[in-house]
Amino acid sequence: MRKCSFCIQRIDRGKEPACVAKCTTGALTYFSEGKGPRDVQAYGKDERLHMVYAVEGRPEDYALPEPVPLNKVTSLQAWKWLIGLVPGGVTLAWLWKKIEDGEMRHD
Amino acid sequence: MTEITWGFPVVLDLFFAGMGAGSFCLAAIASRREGQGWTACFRMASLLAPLAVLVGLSMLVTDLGYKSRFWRTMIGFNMKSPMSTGSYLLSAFFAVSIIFAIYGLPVDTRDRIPLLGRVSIWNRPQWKNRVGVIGTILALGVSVYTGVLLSASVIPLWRSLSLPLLFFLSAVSTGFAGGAMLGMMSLARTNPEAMEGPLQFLKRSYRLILPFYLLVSLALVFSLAIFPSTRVEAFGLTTGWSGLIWWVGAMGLGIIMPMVLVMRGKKLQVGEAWVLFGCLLGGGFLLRLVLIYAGQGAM
Repeated sequence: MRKCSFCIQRIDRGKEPACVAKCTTGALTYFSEGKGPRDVQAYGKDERLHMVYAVEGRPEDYALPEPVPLNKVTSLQAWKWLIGLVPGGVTLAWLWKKIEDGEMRHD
Repeated sequence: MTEITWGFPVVLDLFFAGMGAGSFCLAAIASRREGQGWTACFRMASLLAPLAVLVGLSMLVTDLGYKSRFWRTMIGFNMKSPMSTGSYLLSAFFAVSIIFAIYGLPVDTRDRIPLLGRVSIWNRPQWKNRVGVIGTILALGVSVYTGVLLSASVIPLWRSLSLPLLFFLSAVSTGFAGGAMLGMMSLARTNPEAMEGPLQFLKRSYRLILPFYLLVSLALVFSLAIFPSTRVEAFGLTTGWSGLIWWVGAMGLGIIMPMVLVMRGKKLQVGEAWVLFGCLLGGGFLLRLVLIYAGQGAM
């Protein structure tokens, strides 16, 4: 299952992903969010699990732990950009200032 | 988990995209100065930038595997996905770096470019400066993106907050080294002494960049070692084969050796500069390699 794309080419043609179509025990299903059977909730949607489970009823009925929601503040992607961009920008600005000041103008 | 979904092409992409961005920063700085050495640096670094990015991009497309995935990434813009923002940033940077490389070409070569070669824009220095500034901002984005891209994954080693900054510093140090090395090569036969000015500038820049680089790399290890949930990652990175590459290659060759060379009081000689740039490039490559493979538990 390298780089699973949920068989995007099949889905585009209105088919199910190959794994769902081939699943003999019927353990795998495929449906768009909110369009599946009633009482089904997506377990692991916001928790960055590798897999999202369609769970009927409560997670503990399946011996699954109560999902731990992602920390909305620390998981914000903007932090990662800022942590790189701000000190990086300051470093580059310092180098530019050095060259503009002509501090090393003895060549 | 020993399945390698991000293999060698990704290592090469991160290394070359970073080097291209860093090389552009050097070219933009060198374009503001006069003298044979600075001109050689500007010319070579501005040529290296688009070439390195091209190699990186082709590696990235190779790694995708399917053409349809490439078009999907290109057609849809998704702010939340660093894959999407990154490929747009890379494309914009690639275009700007080509324009800047044309500014670096000798006039008679530039005149031979069909259609665009004789446009008056090439003779306006203020436009050259503007392109340099815009490109430097984009280069900053590109070099940070390589770290943000990895940190958006589920792999604990890559989710460290120090990764974007670490990759920026690695990009600048390898890019400066690559561009200056080519500049030195172009002057090696005719006038190696002309590199004096750029070399002293690089020495002073590395005096700032390298201690910072070392600090951020150690911060990566410590931030992983502090939390019990990621302690195993810190252990995996710093011991065994990956530990050897991390400590001897990325740290020793890529940071400590160059630091020893630039921290001395004496002027940086041309011979020493070859060793310095070689160490920086090798160490920068090994840093990307060990982080990619150790993150996936493959070392």
